[in-house]
Amino acid sequence: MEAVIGLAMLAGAIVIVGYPLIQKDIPNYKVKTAKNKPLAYEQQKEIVMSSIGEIEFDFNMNKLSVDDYQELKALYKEKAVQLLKENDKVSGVNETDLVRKLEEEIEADLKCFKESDADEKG
Amino acid sequence: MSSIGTIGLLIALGLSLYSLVAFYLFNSNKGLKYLLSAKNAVYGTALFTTISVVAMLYALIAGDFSIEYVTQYTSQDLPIIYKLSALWAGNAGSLLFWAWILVLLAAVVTASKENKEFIPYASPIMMVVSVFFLFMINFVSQPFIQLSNVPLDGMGMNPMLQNPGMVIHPVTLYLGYVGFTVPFSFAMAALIMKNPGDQWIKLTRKWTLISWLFLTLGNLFGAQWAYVELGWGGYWAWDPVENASLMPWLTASAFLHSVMVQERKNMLRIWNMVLIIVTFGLTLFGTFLVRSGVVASVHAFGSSSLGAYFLIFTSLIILAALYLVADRINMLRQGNQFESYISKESSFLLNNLLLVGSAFSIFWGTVFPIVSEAVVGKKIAVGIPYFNQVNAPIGLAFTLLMGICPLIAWRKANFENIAKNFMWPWIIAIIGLLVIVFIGGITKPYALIAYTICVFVISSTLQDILKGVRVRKKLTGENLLVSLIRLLSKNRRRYGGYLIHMGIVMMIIGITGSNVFNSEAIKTFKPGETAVVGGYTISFKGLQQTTRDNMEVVYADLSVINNNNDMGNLQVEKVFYSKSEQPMTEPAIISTFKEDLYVLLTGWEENGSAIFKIHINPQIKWLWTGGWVIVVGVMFALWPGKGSGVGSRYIGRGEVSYGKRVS
Amino acid sequence: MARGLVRKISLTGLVLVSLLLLNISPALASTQSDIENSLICPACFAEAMSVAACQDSTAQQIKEEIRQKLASGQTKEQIIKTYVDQYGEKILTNPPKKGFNLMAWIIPFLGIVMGGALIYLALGRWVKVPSAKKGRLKTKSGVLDDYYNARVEEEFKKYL
Repeated sequence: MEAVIGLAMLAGAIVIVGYPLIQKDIPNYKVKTAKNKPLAYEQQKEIVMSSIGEIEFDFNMNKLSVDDYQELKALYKEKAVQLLKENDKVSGVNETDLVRKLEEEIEADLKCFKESDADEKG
Repeated sequence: MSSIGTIGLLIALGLSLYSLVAFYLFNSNKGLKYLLSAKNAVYGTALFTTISVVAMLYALIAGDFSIEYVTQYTSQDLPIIYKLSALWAGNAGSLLFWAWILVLLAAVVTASKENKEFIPYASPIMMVVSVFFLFMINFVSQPFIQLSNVPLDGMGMNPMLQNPGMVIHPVTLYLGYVGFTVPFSFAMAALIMKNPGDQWIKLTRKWTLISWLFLTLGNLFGAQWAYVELGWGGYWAWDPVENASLMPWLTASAFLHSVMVQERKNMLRIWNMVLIIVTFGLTLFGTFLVRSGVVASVHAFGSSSLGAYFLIFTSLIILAALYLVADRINMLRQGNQFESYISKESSFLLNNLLLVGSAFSIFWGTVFPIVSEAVVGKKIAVGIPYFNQVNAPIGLAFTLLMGICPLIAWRKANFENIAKNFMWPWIIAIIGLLVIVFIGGITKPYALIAYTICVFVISSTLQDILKGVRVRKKLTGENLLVSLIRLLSKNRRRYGGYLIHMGIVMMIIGITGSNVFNSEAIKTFKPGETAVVGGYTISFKGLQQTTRDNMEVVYADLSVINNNNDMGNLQVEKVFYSKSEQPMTEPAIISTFKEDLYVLLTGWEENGSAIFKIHINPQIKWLWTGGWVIVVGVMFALWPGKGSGVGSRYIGRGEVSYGKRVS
Repeated sequence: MARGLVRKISLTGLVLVSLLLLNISPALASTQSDIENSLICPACFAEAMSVAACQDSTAQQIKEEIRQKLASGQTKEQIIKTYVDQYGEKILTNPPKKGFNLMAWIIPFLGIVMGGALIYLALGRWVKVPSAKKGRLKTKSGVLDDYYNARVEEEFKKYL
């Protein structure tokens, strides 16, 4: 009886490890290291933005000196602007369009401002 | 049953050896099928070890006294919970248990999706350790040895182990010990893969923190067990075995802090490797100490050849690991730099120095009897007073650092922000000191220093949180409550850490109070007598006797009144176990945050009067409560989802790196 | 300035530690338990358990002996000496602070001091006090800089 159980257990073990070996082999894949994987825009943005957040936070907490704050902030801000610009480019926001849109907005603001100004006078 | 167990272990050993071969074949590009086969071998090892464990548990519960182990550690009248815990009451069983946790962990890690790239290297390293343990239980300390003439009943379990504390303490401790195999394996895998970044740290962070938590709890449960079971009024005796579990805790604590410097600044890579290797080595070293009988210890399982095997294996694996570090050292060298002498970065170095220094002093004290005998041929003992004297100042110093470090700036700190950040905590600490002296009436210098430091740490931590709320409010315009909740929940790693610090401070308070202000008295009570001891009015009615499960109990019911408050009854016992000659003295305890009343029945006289030893142990409850605060802190920090990630990187000039945020 | 601060801080630390070391022995409840704690139970050398902690009959007997000796007016030192004469130094839970035993106390602190020195030296190598503002190369300023800057200032708050 014991011998039978023992043999059954052994057979089980052999099946477990043997099964993948007799299957049709899939060509060996190269293990990729994660460091080469580029991160998606959203992820990159999250990292840069939360870094800026943290720099701002630490500075306000007195945990970064003014020099460090300015240097790091400038560094990360530059990176963030670059990211936003690249993304705008990819998603088809044209720079001249954007300038025009901004100008229109400013004009609209001005108009609004003038009107309210006029209202007050009137 | 015993044959199923034996065969299961043999197959598990075979499978674990095979998995090493298969992983090797895969890693030398022989085909994906070898990886699948190797993984299955890992799962198989776990499966067959589990079968053996189940067989052992079945034998223990059913009382199969044909197995030597069952006979040695159980008896028919043993309550069922202790029949189960007998699995780790003896040498062979506890090794089986250890191996079981290890192979289960290896299977879980191997199956997990998030560490795919590391598996082909990390998994075999875990299996190397598994092979060692499986070898031990197959050939050196076999749990399933059969007896030729089967006794009718077993010898029973050591009465000291028949306590809930001894059911849970070894389990938590082993989980802690075994858990550190995971970060160790990933560190080695990172070296083998020539991937020296901080990926291995991030992938194993959860494992490291959980193992650390279990180690913390293991130590605390052990201390609590000693306190409620051994009846000497204390909880920590600096026994070599206790030291063996404290040392990896200290180095692991150092590791948890120093990895932050690597994650933030990509520095200290070599040091972190060394720390995890040392921590892993110390988890095995403890076992060597317990099983070898080279040092005098209460926990000694009796000297056996086991210790030698452990020593050899530990040395080999540590040497191999250090060789690997040395070989890859150029890859690990750091590119970044510190911006100033005083900064959060350098304060982490100081923290590491003290934690590792403390671990070293404990190591030195533990092995000093051997050193002394070898060098000057004098046998001496190094006991409680030594360890207290050496570790008290170190412990206080790193408690102080807990208050300072979170407030120091990254990169460069200067006088101005140090003065600004620390003004209030110091003012509060000094007020606290005055209160303690003039209202509390405490004048013992040690206690004063310790309590002042504790007040400082608490107030500086609270100040930091308050300030954080204010800053967040200012930046986001949220209201007070929202910004408090968001601040805490979005930076759970930081504030979970703070909570853990608070737990440690509570423990320090408990340790200080119970060591500095403990007092004791011995008092003989006549039946019906009432006396006042240490402010407690204690009345003794008389001794009684009863029979329970497997024991005869002589007990006294004492009613206790303190400041006109009825504190209830204390049942103080002397227990005579059926299988043991020495009676056990079971203390009875009334525990409050102010102090514990801890009473022992030491003896009685013919006229019916009884002799009690009464300890007043102040503040011990803080120690246990601090442990639970740590549990909450760790869970808060690790709770999955956003906010448990590491903060941004404050690296040198000119580079911005996209460290992967792991949440 | 930074170095000066470090020196000040480490000096204060040193003074604090030495103060602690002088004041070291936590006061114990009584001479009785003081003695019990400083002796190892002769029946338990293998476990190195102190008389205070041990529960077996030898320990009980020694506790009683100490009580009687104290009652007869012997001092703590005299009592401990009797036991040391009888069993040797190994009966002490704390080895006497003399001769080679001193190494037990010195080495740990020596280790920490040396570790501290090592860190100080390492910091000396790692610390690069940044030179005064290197003028950062400003990237060509565009029309939209203000717009993007404002957007960054706004958006980072969502990630706070």
